[in-house]
Amino acid sequence: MRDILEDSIQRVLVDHVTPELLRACEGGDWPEALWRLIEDNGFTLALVGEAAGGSGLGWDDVYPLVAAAGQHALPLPLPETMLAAWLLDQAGLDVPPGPITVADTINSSDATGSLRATRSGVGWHLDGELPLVPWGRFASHVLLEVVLDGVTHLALIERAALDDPTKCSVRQDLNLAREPRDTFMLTQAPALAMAALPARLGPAPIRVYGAMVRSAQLAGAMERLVQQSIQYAGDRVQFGKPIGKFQAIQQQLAVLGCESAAAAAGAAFAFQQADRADAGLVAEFAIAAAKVRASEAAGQAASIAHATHGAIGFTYEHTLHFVTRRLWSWRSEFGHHGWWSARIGAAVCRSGTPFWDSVTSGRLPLLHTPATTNRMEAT
Amino acid sequence: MLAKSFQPCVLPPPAEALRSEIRAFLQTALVGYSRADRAHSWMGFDAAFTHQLAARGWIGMTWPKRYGGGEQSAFARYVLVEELLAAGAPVLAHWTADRQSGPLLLSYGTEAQKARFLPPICRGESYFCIGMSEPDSGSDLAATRTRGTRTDGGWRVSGTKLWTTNAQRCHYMITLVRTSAGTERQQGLSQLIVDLHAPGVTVRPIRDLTGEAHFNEVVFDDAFVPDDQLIGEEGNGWQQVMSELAFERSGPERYLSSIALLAELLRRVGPSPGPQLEATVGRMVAHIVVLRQMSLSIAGQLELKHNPLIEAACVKELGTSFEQMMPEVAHALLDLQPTLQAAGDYERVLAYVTQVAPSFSLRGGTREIIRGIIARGLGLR
Repeated sequence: MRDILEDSIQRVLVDHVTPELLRACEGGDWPEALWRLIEDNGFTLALVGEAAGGSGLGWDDVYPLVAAAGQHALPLPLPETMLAAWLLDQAGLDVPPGPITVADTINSSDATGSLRATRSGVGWHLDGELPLVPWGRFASHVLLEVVLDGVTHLALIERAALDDPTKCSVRQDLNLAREPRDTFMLTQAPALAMAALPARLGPAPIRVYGAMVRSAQLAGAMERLVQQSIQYAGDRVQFGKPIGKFQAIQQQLAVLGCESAAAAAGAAFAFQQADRADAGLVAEFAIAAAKVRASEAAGQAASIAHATHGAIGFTYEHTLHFVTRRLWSWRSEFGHHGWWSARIGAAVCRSGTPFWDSVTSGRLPLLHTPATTNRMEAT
Repeated sequence: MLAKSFQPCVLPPPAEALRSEIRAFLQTALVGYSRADRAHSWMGFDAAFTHQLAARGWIGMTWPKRYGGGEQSAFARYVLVEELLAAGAPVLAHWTADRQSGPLLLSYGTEAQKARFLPPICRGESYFCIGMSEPDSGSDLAATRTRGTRTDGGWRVSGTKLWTTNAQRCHYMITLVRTSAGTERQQGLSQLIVDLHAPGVTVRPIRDLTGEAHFNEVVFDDAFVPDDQLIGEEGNGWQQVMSELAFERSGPERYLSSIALLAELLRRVGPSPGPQLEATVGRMVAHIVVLRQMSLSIAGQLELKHNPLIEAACVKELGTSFEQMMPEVAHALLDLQPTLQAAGDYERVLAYVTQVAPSFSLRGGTREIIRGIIARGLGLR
């Protein structure tokens, strides 16, 4: 299954994610034709059960899809939509068509406190901030976590409902790769659907599984840097020979290859753990490790790739930056290196068992204790 | 490319089931073995401990029963090795024989060699070392000059091996020697089992910067090695050596050498040391989790009889960098001075690990050689 998915996503992305498309998207375009092609291929519903019209695949199966989105710098919220569709399906909610994004509300900068939900008649209203929502302006729906009656729920909002300025003010922003990251300030904004968070997803699945998909995107992007840098080092001649023949360059590219491999190994492991019936703790720990390792690799990988490419790689005309600017952005999203390493470290220190036991069992309670997330502190 | 080479590998339940038995054994067997001793990792030598492992069937545990082995899976051995290293058990006596020499003999040895050499290894009585480096042949292994000259019934060996770990306490050295000229430098090399107590062999321990002696100079002066101690084919030494390297470079010993320091650090700082320390500890643990998966993934490939040489080099590169990062990180975190006779275990362990860390990226192929191998794997050479 992995090979079939890998082939089909690669075919679509190699043909369609061109430098011209990336430049147009950075100028504010939404590539609707490509989005339709991706939806028509069934990629967005890969993780949704067959009963709900999806393919019923597991995370391990779809790793190549998410990594390929990173590898090709896909300027669309495919990973976000896959994640949102999976969460909706897990919670027993219908999955609407179109791009769905996820709002990571942990560490919200909203000074008035975290997000709140209230009942109103047969529906619900939401107040508070959704910070830096990926592709927010282009999404049809936004999925988020919110506490209602002391229980964390998944809530789905129709994006069009946020166009009403009395319900929502928007601050549009872009990450370093010019991907939309929009902040929504909600005032009694209506939720379309809500469902209590299934226990097996843990207390903060958007943060956790968001970090997981970013790890795979980071790994895919770094794999691209390896390919691109090796190609360039073979083509570029200085001092009478390709620069890849110089040991100084070879040693650097070996480090790049290793960092890329470490990121990929960590991410692939996390995707595999996420499928386990007893996911919970096991997945969180693996995902945390994957995100820390991939985020750490990202900076070094980008640095080596740029050093190898020289000045041409620093121009907008060259394509290298489509990947490196994503690395610099994605590593900060859904919990940066420090946030996740602090979670692991705090859990290791307080666990009372030798850390090696946690490493081999894979069980380490990262988020299952009080005071681990702002949202939980607020409740 | 490399990124797709590390598919997750899950330890099968029977292998995983062994873990608690090993931990219970170590709990008793290591009583009285100090924290500073444990920091020696696989450089710790204790024949009595090796005998205890042998009594449990934990040396040569994957080898055929007819040679004294346990016919268990490579994954069972993986669990054993990572538990031994994580606990800082003194495994040096049998380490090389169990990891490398035995498997080499199983691949290339004659029936008579297997029957003669493997059972004593499994009993914990026969120790092997590997003679590769020489005074003029370190990273450049093909420059081997130690010569084996044909004589009646065997070879006469002359030359010097250098930096041979544990030779002073071993019975045999698997020695790479030049047995014919060859048109290429890699040709004409052979592997001989040299009895280190035979006439004409002199072993001189070399003190390292810690004041201890782990590696040696071994001089052969016309030492006789009988015919039946040639491993595999004459002239095939280079290929045979290369086939060992994936085993040598991807095991848990390539990232766990300084693990004792992390354990001591955690003991010293207690359950809630504050955000900065916690983040650093978490970063180290994240590295360990990913390195362990990479190492396990290679174990899975070796079990399928692949020879993931490039991937193994990748684990060694990342693993040794991590091992060396550990004392640097510890130094930056706590304002405690490493001293040799400190009352605190943390200070002593830091003192030891700080001093031995440079060796991590020298032994088993230097960092630069390893990166060169990876670069070749990437198609750059």
